[in-house]
Amino acid sequence: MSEILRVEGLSKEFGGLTAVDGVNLTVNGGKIVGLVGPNGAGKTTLFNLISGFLAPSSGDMYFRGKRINRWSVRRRVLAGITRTFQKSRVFPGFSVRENVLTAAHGSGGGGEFYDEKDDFLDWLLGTTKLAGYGDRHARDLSFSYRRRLELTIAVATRPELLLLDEPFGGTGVGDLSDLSRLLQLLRDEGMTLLLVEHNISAVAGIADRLIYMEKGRLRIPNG
Amino acid sequence: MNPALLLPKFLFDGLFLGSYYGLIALGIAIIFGILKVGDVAQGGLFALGAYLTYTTVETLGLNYFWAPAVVLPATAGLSVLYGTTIYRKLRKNGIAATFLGAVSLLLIIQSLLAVGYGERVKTIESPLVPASVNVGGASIYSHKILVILVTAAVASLVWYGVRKTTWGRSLRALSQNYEIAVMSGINPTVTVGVAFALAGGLAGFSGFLTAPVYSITPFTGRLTVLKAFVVSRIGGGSVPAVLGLALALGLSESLTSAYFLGELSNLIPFLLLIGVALFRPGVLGPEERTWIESSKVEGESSAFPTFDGYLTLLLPAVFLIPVLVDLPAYFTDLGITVAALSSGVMSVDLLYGYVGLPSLVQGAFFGVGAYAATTVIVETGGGLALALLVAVVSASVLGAVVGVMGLRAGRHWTSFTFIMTIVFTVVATNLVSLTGGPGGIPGITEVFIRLPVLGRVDLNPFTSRWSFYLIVASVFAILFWLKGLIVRSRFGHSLEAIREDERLAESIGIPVGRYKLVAFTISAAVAGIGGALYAGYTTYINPEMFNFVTSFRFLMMDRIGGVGTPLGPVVGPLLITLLEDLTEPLNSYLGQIIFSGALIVTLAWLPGGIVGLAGRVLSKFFPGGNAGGTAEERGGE
Repeated sequence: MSEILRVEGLSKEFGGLTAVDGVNLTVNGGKIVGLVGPNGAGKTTLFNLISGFLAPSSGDMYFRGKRINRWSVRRRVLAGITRTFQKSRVFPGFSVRENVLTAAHGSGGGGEFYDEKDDFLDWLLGTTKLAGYGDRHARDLSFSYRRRLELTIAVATRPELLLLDEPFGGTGVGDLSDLSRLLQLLRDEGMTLLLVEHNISAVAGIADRLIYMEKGRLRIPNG
Repeated sequence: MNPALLLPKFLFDGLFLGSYYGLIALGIAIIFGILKVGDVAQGGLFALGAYLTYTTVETLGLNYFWAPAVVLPATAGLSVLYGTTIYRKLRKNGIAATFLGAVSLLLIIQSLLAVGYGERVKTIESPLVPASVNVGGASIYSHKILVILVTAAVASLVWYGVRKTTWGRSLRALSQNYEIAVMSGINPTVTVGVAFALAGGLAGFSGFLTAPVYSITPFTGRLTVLKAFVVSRIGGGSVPAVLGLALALGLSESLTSAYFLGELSNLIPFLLLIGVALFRPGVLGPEERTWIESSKVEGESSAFPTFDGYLTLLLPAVFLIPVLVDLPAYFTDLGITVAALSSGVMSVDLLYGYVGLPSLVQGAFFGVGAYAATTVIVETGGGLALALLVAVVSASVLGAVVGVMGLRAGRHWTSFTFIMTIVFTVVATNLVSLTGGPGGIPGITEVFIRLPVLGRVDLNPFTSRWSFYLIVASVFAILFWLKGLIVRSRFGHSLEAIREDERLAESIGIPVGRYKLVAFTISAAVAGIGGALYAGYTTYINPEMFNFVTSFRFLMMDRIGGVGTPLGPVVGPLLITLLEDLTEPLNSYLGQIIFSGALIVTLAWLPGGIVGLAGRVLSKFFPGGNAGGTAEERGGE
């Protein structure tokens, strides 16, 4: 599979604090990569850099071989990079269906994955088990449904590379296996997923690769 | 006469200005710590203090120095009253709501003063003898020196109170982290109560101190309280910093006014604030959680009439009724007024209802349109079409400029637009060559329009009433439909997404900054058109007709009518114009009081305004149906 994301010598400093310190990372397409590590390791900052919410202090980022350092968030989304947030974000005043439609409208994304899906959105709502909730207002959703909606919104932007920030956070046992299966399904369809997670067992169960991050640096496990 | 000789005079003037700015600023800073909002109602208490001083001296015949015994209980008491009731309630609905409530209270207090004391200017004399002293060769009012000295004493007391007393410690704790402070045993009710009392007292006391220096009008204190607000924000929580900044401001104002800029020196604090805010938007206050509840839907997700279905597109047909039924002139007058005002309100609604940004600068764009149209028609003899075009272009350009600055202000939009309105008014009042200054310029007396087949058609609003009326109604209809189109489009839906969660909107690819700027420019253009229509109908215009009160009234009409609905921006101005016509014979300020009060009620209890209320009432009679547009219609595919 070809290389989707490559990061070289990526660093981010805030005043005196180095949050991300010379990170080198290559991710190939169609894989689930888990990024684990203690709090304050710089994982979310790394996400912010890759998704365009923060500009790097130094280093380069390449998506499908193109240098994206100066790309706006919007441009990255249109190119196929989407991220979620640690604290689930939805559009509270919109219905579930409107939430998803808004995300689908804003973007282009890419990949053959989508060309074959007729009625992509119906498929999406079905896959994330939100089909019956189309008219429910997002603010009325329970926590686990909100999480599902958050993921649905992200996938509705038709990403090739999906950055998920703690998708298993606070998830109960039943939903955990549902979510795991869903992420694997997306991966099997060709999407690349990069997960930041504290729940190591959950992510280890589905990840093709685990990376450990601490104090702004990646530590590649031996062997 | 060598101007340098007057330097001591200007210095003392500056210190005097800075002194009473500083007193008010201290009060505002104290409250800001707890409320996180600039309590501009203090401007009303300032005016009240001046008036009560007048009453004490002229009506009660007492010595000037007895006045604090009357002023302080009144202003402190009033401050505690509204602080612990109205602000407490509004605070739960967000910072923007609280700020709007403060502006409403300012208007209510000043309108009550106008009702009670009349509009005519009052003056009292300083009891000090000699009235002036000679300092360094210049003649200085002794009273000003008194004010400076008294301020120093009072400020020291306040400093002591804030720094060294238990109350002061509690205040500072609550200001830093309200919840934790309460949990550690601080009694918020008492602390907050004392804070409001102190602030109200300081404002009233400032009014007392300055009563013999300035003429007393109900509207005194408006500009002052805003300058004090600027000082309190930049000075932060430190008494010496606030007072020092106030004095510096007073001095710079006095000196620039004397030597360079005249009235424009009033702009200094606001330009300073804008300058600081461009680097640190936090100086305007904490971020405003601007969206409380949509007028559209609450609670259950369906079965709620929303009045935004395609039937509402027929609304402009209502304007045909006076023509078809040949109603008296009152109705065409009303129609023209409502159409013009409604344009202004629609412009606010676009931002408030759909982007979620309460905007207080539309009055200025309305004014720009009015002036542009008047200048085109009166000075250059152009037709209505040209006038509208120039109005749109000039308003849009200014709108874009303000919009770009506003992007930096981010979630401090309400405060920022409020400041911008003040800036516009002060600048406009001083660009005498362009705007005629405070005296204004005569309005449009003859309007014509070139139509394709008919050629030049004269539309004097005062003689051929149907033609002007129909033109205005047509322009309104176009704006109404245009707004409907915009909000139903993908762009409009993206605006709503920005309102719901800006960060999320950005993360799914919506160009937030760009869209906000476009929305703001369109809003300004619509307001400009409204102003042009309005100008065609008044006998003269001046900058004060487009000041922050106008902006505020638009917002008020939107909120009361029903923000974020198609009908709200029409229902609001209609209702308010009708009721103001009813109450005007009693007192011209009665309407203002009622509607400012109604706004507070709406902010606190009726987020949906009249339209929302009507919808809720109707849904009780017609449950289960959806009388409005559905999500699919609005979402579009």
